[in-house]
Amino acid sequence: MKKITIINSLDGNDGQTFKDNLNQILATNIDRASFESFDLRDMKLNYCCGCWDCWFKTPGKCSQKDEMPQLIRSIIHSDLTIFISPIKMGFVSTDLKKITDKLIPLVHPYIEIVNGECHHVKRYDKYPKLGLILVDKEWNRESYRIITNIYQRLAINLRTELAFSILSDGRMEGIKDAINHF
Amino acid sequence: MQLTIFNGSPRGTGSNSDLLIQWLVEGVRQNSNFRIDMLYLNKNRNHDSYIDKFKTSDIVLVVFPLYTDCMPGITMSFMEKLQPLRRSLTGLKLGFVVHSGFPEAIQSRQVEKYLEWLTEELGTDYLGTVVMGGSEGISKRNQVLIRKKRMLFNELGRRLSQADKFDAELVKKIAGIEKLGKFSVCLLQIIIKTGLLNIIMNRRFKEKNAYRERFARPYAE
Repeated sequence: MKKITIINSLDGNDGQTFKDNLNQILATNIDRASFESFDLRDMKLNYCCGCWDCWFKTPGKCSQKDEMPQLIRSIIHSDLTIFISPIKMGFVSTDLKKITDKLIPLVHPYIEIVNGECHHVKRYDKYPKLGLILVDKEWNRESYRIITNIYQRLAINLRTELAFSILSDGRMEGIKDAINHF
Repeated sequence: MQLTIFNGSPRGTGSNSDLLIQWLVEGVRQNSNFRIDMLYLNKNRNHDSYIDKFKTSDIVLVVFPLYTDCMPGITMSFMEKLQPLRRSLTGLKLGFVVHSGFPEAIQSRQVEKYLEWLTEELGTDYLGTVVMGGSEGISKRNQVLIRKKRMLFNELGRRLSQADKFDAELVKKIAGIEKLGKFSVCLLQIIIKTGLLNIIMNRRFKEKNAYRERFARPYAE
């Protein structure tokens, strides 16, 4: 059975409606995949402070006391991690960027060459594929492209791949297929 | 003329961003009478009070390190707060400095596209984005070795008062290596195999008494 971790940074009533619709899709897949969902609004998460303790003092672990360990454990044990975010000021939400920064202990500070570029050495044997769902009523395709390109690079640095990136105006078109066919 | 420089490093004072800002300001002071304010974005609670400063400046520079292929979360938090200013900042010149620990400038090119978008969205004039690789630990390096970079940033600062855009030649020189060539890749692979590249990092592990645990996988089980 596949494991899928869902990290949601949507807020407000629209966010709740989206979450309810997503849960219906997940329910139809329950016989082939297990899901673990996190709502970033409800979690105590600190910003990365750039101390690099997660590399050099407590290797692989952020030394801050927050709820990041439960997120990171779920991510590294998943086959697919899906990030869901509104587009805010042309980018993913601050809440999602905050936890994206704190994924860095999943790799080593050591560097190796990957496809002719410098990237971090793997810490774990296996990494989940990443999925991105961007929710924007304005249907901002330019921001969607910029964010997707940045998360494609992030996937390379996290030694995995971006399996899909979907722009949604709140409806579930494309999302059902992406999850059903994973 | 008001120049405001925002330091987007989560490390705040003493950060590598701080050093680059210092180099820029040295140059600005040689050639203009700008009023200069340097503000730190690493404390979320200050962001609201910075918005006025942002919109009333003549030139704004935002300097930050590349974090997971983009701006740090705390810097994004400030950028999100600029939303009410969309399309309202005509006449303001806005520029960026993005630096990263990786040696190649290509690592920062996608975030550069976002910064171009942001500038247009705010209605400001885009000075450009200066990308610099190999910045990790720069503030601790021998100053003689980084003299050339310092002079380039000084020059960038010196020309700021006249420029509508960052000088393209200076931007290119600061960026250094755009992408590793075949020879550099081969050379780097040899250096990596010898372990030479890891010497500084291994020293940091030892300073923190964590050398033995450096390959730990705390979430494997």
